[in-house]
Amino acid sequence: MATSMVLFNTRNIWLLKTRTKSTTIMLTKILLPHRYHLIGWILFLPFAVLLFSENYLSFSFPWLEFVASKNGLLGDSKENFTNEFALIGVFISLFLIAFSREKEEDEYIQKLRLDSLLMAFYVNTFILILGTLIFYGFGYLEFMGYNMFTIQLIFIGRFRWVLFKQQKNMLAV
Amino acid sequence: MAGLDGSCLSSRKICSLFNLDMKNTLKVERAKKDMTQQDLAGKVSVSRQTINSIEAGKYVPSTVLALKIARIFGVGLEEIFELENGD
Repeated sequence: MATSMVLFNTRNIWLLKTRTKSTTIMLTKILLPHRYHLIGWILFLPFAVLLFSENYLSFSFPWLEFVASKNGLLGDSKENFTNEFALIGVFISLFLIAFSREKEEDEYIQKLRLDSLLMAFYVNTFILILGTLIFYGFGYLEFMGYNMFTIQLIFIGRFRWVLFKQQKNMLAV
Repeated sequence: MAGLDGSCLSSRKICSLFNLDMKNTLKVERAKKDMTQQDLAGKVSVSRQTINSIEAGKYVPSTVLALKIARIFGVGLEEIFELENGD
């Protein structure tokens, strides 16, 4: 009786020992390889310039003009897709910059990463409320256009800054 | 105080804000084994920044990393990491 009791307990204890995979490994899996970081920066500048010149200087690529709707009221209507091209380019390059692994991506770096992401969302909400109070009409539309990039930009800015500060601290020690 | 090197001495409030309720003897253990931060970082496969911020009391390592560090020094976990008084 006593022996079986002990056996039973031992088996239970064995069952209670859970094996956990480190969260560091899990997060690393969903990040892009480190080399995409540089590709992101290289793509970001030309696409940002393209977006601005499209928006404010009415620049457009002629090869991005397609027929958008056939047999409309005024015949075929052509649309230029330079704007969409530039926007998607900026989105993708910011994504590559933000979510590629650091050279040494470990749990501390990932803590800084998640902190920065949270802070970016906080600031975004704050700007959203502020913008809603200040702008209206077309101004609001333009504000919302810029606001599409705040989360990415604030995240990248904050994360880079913390890493830089950390590096500087380390050199001082 | 949370940081061994006094990084949190200036502002107790900020320290408690970041949940620094643990002290560690990492620096001492490292000195005993004559190990640099880089050596230790390489042995437990994390960046030097991580070791640096643990020593400065800015970061509480995960259980897995703490166990790895204790294994490298060949001592028990609680000889390196200890809860602060009042927890």
